[in-house]
Amino acid sequence: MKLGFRQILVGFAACYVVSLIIAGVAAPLLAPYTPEERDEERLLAPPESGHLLGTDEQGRDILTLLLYGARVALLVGFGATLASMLIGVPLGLFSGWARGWVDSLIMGVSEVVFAFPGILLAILLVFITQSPSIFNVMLALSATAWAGWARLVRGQVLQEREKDYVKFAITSGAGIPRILVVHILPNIVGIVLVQLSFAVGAAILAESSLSFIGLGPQDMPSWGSMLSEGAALFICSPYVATFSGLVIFLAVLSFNILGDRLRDHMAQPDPITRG
Amino acid sequence: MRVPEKMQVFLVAVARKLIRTAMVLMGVLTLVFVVVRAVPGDPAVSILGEQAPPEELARLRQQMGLTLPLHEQFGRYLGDVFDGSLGRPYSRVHKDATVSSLIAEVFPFTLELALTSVLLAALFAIPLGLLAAMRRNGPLDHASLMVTLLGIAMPGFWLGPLLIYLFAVVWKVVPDPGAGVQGFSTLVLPAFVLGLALSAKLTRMVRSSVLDVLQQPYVLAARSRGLPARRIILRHVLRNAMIPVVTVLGMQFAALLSGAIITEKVFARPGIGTLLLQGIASRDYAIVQGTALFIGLIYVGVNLVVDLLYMAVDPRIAHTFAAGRRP
Repeated sequence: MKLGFRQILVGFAACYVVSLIIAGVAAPLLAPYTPEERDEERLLAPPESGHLLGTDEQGRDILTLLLYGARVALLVGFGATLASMLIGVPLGLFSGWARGWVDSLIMGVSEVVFAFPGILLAILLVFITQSPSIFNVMLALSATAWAGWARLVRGQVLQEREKDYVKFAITSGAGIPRILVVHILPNIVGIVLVQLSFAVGAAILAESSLSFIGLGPQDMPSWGSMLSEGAALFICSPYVATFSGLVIFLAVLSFNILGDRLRDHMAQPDPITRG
Repeated sequence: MRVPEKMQVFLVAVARKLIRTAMVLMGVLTLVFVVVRAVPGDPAVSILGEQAPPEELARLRQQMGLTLPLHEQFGRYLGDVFDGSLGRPYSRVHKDATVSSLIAEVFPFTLELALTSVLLAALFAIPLGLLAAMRRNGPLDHASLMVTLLGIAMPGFWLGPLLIYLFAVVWKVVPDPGAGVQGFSTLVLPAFVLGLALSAKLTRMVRSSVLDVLQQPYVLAARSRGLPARRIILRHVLRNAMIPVVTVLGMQFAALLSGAIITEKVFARPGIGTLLLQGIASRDYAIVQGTALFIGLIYVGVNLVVDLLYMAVDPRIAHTFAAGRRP
């Protein structure tokens, strides 16, 4: 089989995500220093033998910070996404099944959430807590993202419920929870998985954005806060900003490539509706 | 007088949409009110500091209405929204200003930024999406896929400093953003950074929308009548494919305002995002509340206009709304 451009892309994305996970789990083993360790003699050093990627303005090793930063990115990326799914997917199932005023209410609330687009609502929520810990950032991001899940799943349920297998389940006396969880959910799991990949990428980007404006997790080294500090010093030393920005970009890109591949894969049996 | 049935459907649809919008609006107002009041601790203390004299604190609490019961605070807050002032900032720097006068001062900067971004995104995305769809699976289609992936994943707060470094420091083709806002030359880079994600999404939308329209029977009919290809693409395909694209553009406009929070910080531009971040840094709840509300209201407003236009253009949509179903 000839390897096409897209296969190479997908392979690269998969490798990058796997190495991120390894970096996040084994950061203390892989990192040459600890994130607190300061090399007072070498501030803003360029890449050199002692510091493979250089140091930041406090003399901390950039490679070490990036490895530890993978923890924050993955924790927030997966944590916030899973939490928002836990809220949004059941609400969407329920909303699409119940229809009527319940549906109106849930969709109305989601519309209110949509009125604070991007990271605006997360900014407000982190502002409430006044202490942007990693947990609070996760909470803020999932409180924003559940609405998208609810809407996606509701739309799917509205389509699925008209299909024969659901009608058959109703006639054979299955209860509503059973129909939703045992019958409908497995049929929409493909779309949920595709969305999951994109959502993790979006959550990592959102966490970095929050860190960039100073509202990210303060209790652990994060890519966004590195980039924020590095961007201010870009002209004297471009390394901090370049490397931290690059790892964020590649992480978000990889999750998007995987999501894209997954979507193509899921849609294959039905090429006509494929967009 | 008998109202024709078509008109009836349209009016019912508009009425439903208006009621729904009013409810969402109430939700937006309540959410912002609750969020700002959910901040733990005494706002007066966090504004004036621990050492502030008690009479100062008491005066500020009085001014902020914190001594009133919650429902009266909500009434006062609604009053501030409906008289258009959005309340008064607490910090003494803005002595005679209202929050809305502060917003009015900086919003033109955000608006020109957002509109330029939309324009750039549309100029880029519509041709690319159209060509990618027409030559599906061709080299341009693959290139467009790559471009959209890159655009969505590229953090603006990374691209921004890189571009500033290249264009303002190395090549000196645009003025340094530190030197203040000066005309179009300081607008291009931030507009590009802000519009990048939008143009990525838009390219995808245009592509899939064109692919969809290309399969419609009326395109086949136009082809079989022997119309020239250019005419089919411009008059039949592009026109119909643009309908969903324009809706997305409308919805994305408020998202751009929220994206401007980051872009304005990167380029040190004045604007609504900078105002919000200043409000957060100085713990000025009135400014945080006012700017967030402003963006929320724009989202709701733009959405309403887009939906109403949509109903006017496409009667099928009015039917859906009138039946109480949501598209």
